Amino acid sequence: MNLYKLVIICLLVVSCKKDKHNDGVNTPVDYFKNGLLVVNEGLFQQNNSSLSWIDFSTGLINNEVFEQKTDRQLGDTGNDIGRYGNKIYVVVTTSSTLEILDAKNGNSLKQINMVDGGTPKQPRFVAFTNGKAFISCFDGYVDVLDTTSLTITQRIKVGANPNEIHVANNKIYTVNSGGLSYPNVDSTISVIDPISLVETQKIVVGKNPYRITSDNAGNLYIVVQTGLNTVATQLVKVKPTLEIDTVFNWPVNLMTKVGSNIMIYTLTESNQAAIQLFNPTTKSIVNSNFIDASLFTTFYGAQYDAHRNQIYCFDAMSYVNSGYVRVFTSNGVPVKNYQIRLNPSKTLIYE
Amino acid sequence: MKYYLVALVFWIVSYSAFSQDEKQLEELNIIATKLNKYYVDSINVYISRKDIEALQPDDLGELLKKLPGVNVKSYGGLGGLKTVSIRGLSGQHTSFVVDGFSQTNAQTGQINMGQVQLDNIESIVVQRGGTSELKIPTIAQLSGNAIVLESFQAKAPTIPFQQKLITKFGSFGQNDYTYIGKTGKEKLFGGIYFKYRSANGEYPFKYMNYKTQLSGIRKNNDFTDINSGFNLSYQPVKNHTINFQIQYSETHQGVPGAVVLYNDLAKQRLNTTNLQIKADYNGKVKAIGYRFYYSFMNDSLHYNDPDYLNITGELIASYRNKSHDAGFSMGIPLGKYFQFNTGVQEIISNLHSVESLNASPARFHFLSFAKTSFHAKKWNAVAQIGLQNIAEINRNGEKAPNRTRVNPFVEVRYHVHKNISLIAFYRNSFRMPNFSELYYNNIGNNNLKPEDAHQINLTTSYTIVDKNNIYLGLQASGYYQHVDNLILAIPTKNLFVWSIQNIGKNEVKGADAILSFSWSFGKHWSTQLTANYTFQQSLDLSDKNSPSYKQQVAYNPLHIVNGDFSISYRGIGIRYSNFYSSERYALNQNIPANRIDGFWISDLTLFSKFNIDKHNSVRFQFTIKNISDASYAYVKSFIMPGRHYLFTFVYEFI
Repeated sequence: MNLYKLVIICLLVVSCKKDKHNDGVNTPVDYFKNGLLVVNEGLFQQNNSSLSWIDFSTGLINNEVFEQKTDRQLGDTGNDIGRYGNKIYVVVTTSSTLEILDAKNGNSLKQINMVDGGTPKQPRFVAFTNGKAFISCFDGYVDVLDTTSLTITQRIKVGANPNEIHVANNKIYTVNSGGLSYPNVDSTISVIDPISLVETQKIVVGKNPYRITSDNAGNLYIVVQTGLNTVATQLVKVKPTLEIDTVFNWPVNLMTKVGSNIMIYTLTESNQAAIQLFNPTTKSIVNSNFIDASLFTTFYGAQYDAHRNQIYCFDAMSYVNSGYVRVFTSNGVPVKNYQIRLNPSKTLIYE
Repeated sequence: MKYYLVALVFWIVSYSAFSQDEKQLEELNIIATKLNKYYVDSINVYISRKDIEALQPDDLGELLKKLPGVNVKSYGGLGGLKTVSIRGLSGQHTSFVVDGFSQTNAQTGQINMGQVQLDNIESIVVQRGGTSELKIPTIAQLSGNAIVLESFQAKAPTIPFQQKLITKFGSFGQNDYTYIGKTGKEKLFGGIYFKYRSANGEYPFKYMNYKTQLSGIRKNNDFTDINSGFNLSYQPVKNHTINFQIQYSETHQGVPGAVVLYNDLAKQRLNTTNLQIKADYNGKVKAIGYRFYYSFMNDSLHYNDPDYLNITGELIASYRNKSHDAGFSMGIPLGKYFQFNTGVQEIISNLHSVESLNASPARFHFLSFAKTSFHAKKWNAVAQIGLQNIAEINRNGEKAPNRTRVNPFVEVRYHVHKNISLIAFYRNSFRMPNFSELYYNNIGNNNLKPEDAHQINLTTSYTIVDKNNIYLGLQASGYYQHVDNLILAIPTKNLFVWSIQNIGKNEVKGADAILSFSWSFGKHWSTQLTANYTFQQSLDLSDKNSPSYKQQVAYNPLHIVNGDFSISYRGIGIRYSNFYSSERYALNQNIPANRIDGFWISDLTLFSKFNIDKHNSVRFQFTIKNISDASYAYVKSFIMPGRHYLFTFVYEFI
């Protein structure tokens, strides 16, 4: 046998192998209706962030929506997705881009390279108000994008490594994590006026704040670290007047507003996980086992669908396996699971 | 988070142990002219200077990929990080030995094969089974496998003065200048080595961004490095030799990282220096041979990211890794059929960092082994037991627990016929968690256990034809490996909070085959054909509930094929070299989204050598690498260079 025969035999062996898995037939989507458009973060330096379309009418999943619409990939670490008017905004952190798509059909409208002076801004989250998109960037700024001209019109200096950004009380709040300066992390949140587009206040809430939401009364809830040299967390309630109201010593990791309550995901140092329901009015846990946490390998966030009155939870499956959207009723009863791509973290809900 | 790692291995016939002229080379030369009658006994793989010259690899990593059972992960072309795994064992199970001295790096647990230059290297052996050679330190006797290098300057000159001058020019601004000289006689000789290398590394690449062809130039991929060495050897009386070596190397390079879509702004830099001082004493009293050795290493690394988005506006990480390595080995013939070998070694390592490491760890690694070899006409057998103890201290925080391990190794070989042999071995080995895994800020876990490996191998060699200037030899192996307490870095609370844990299990079932053919015809013609094929199923057995359970481990192709053909007339010839790797997966879950396409890379070399007189010669070589300009990657998003060129000029006075 000579080399070439050997090579040919090997190639035949290889070419006869079939994929044991199929992660979706990815039937093209013309219009988004009655379903979920989920952003999958993917993994750092793998360029495998993606958008998955889950069609509730047909039960079909398309994991290549972005690729089919644009003939290119989304990029590296898609971190957030938001809809404002008739446009979708996808924030891609490591690629340092903002992808703007048509909200009806997903066609690409514009890609903005988020670079400042040759340095990637590393955009993280997006929030909307007053005709503008506010994008928190890890370089210490919140970028203001005019949603009509689709141009960045201003940069607002905030704290170190701003992460989640939230609109409430006619203000914009961003949590300054300072995570890249660990252990010298930041401990503030910045308040931005959406009219004057300036940071009007910065208040101390606790070390390494990285998540923020609000209740119906405009109170803010912020996840912070309990102290230095620990990853243990707690929840801080801040009044609309920016005074700290209560510090809840619960190891909150993620939170989602469900109706007038807040669903919190807690994870102890010994990895005891729970998904609980918190009533902001009574400041109490109303259901300590709202959703069975054992149904998840790696709980990675959730969103409430008021229209269908159900909750979409994300399971990152140890961060290295195909993730799931797990659907629950508003009472925490499991309904259905959809397997999509790596690290799903946020969704747009289509009626 | 952590990662990667060579001389001549001799299998010494038991009772004729330690003199050079009694050695039998039993490694399998997989690339060169033929497998001679000694080679068919071996499971170790041997690469000669001739092969290195013919292939002109950029570095050791690029050469090792030509060997059966070796899987290289290359994070870019010239100057980039390269790690190897041999028969499915990670690089940290591989010992690296140069001129009889082990090189260790307790911080990462392995050597970057992309930084090991080969211009002064005479031979390379990948040691998969056992060896009785005194030049092999204890750590390489006990590790899962070893890569053993021997340098030109470490061997006594055959004439009073020998030297080589090598220059290379290639694509992407590559400039390479090497000088090696040695003088003296066996009684007293000395040598020097100096190499300067630089390149801008700006290679064009193509990347299929779904249906859009993306073309770009690799940026921040430049490097400049120097390697230098001085050695002295003195033989006060016959059979007693003292060797001394000092080596220094320095590297300055960009760290381009992955090709990140829409963002090619990486500016990270990496500077390293490495100083080694080595000495050994080899003696022989009657038939008893012995060796004392000592080496010191001072390794420094400085990393800078000027765009890091922290409050100081940059990230600086610097590490200093020092080690003292001392040992003794001895071989004693016991009658006609038996030989006893023993050795001890102590390696003391410490790691220090001002900015990046709260811990200040030091490790005291004691290794010892005892081995008995039996050698008869048709049967050879080896039984070895190793004892190791690892004690650590941490001047600033909690230390890892002390560890003690006893590891057996047994090997049996049977000569069925003068041209056919069977070799079987079982080896139990382990690798310690490296300092990064144990002590790295926030994610290190000082309770990590060693990663345990079990290897079973069966090899058969067959010389089919060896006459009338025609040689045809074949070797085939089957192996099974099982790794417990596999050390993995995993995210815990979220993608930013990682932890290192002993949670993995891995099972490898593999087979490799080597074919070697050579034929000399006419008065001045010769031709060679060598090929090897590796099949390796490496399965993830970590978690029965994981979607990746019993799936192929990431970055392990199922099939690798190498095929080289050369033909020459009066020293002028052509060589066609091929490497094929089947698809691999970027993650353990073997789904299409994680697939990295297989690839076939071919290189073509034209060479000519002119002998000016008995000692003076010049050689010209022109190599086209990746002839088909294929776009390929070993590691997802780390695109390798397309077609490129290398011109080599060598002047030798030897």
